[in-house]
Amino acid sequence: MTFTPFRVALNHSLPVMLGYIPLGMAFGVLFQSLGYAWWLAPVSGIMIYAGSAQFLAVGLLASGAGLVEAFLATLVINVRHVFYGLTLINRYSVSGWRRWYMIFGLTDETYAVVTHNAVPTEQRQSYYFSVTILNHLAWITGCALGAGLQSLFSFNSEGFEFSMLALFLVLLIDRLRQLQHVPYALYAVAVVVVSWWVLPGQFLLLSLLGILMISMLGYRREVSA
Amino acid sequence: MTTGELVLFFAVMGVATFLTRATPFVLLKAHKDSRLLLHFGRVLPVMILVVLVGFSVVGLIDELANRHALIAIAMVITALVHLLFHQAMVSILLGTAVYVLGIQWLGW
Repeated sequence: MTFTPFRVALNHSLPVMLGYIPLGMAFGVLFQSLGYAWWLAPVSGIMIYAGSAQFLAVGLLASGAGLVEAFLATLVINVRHVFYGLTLINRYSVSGWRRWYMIFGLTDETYAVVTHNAVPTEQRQSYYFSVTILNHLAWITGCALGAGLQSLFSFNSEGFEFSMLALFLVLLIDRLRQLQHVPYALYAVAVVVVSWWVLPGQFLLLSLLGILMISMLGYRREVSA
Repeated sequence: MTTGELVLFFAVMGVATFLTRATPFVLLKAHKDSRLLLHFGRVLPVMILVVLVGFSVVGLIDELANRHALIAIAMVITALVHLLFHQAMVSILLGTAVYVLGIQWLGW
């Protein structure tokens, strides 16, 4: 059987796409609670294309956050992507706009697919590109479906805002399955509680600064040990 | 916020996201094995998730209704289902369903 990069990409991406559609829909429904036109939900999927950041965007918009706060919060929340890129520098070898698009679309799940599967070297770049665009399309479709259905039938979506908390909680539990992460998680809980107690109005920025400081302290201890 | 301002908001978050994804490809080739970066990569993600959970809880508590108990119950159910079945979508949908039903049917 001949190897067609697109078909193989579709095969490998299918589980991610099946997950992106309901998650995108949850975002779309949540986004509609802000009261904007439904098509702005898929627009955010096209422009931001980061699940956590988009859910966070709804929270930020609801609390009236400014652009600087949105920029900094997004940087810190997505900083994990820096570490994905580090392992792909040599693999993403194509040049031009396709490379930039592949980097733009490097979500957690896309990273998982492209690093998990082996494909013949000469087909790799088309394969990576196909995985990226398929996942992106599924995500945009989910965002549009959720917001579109909500605007058509305007069902009572009160309580759907819990989906953001559930998403982050589930991701946290997956991390904590590796027990070495537990101590740092506990430090972070302390940071969160103190930030909330000291300065509830700037809770997010203060906590993010707090965990950056803790991780630097942890590094110094590790180096001197 | 107007539609234009909202699109600008998206653009700012999109640029920030892109910066995090593009940085290693542009700047960090030489630092691929930096110990500080590896340390950050190991400890930051879990702490960021704790902060995001905290941010979400605070966002829910901020609303007028007194729903602390419902929030706690829905969180415990989400966590338990996820620990048992390892299916992110199932855990998220079930936890959200509990919360939505608590509000819409039981008038919590």
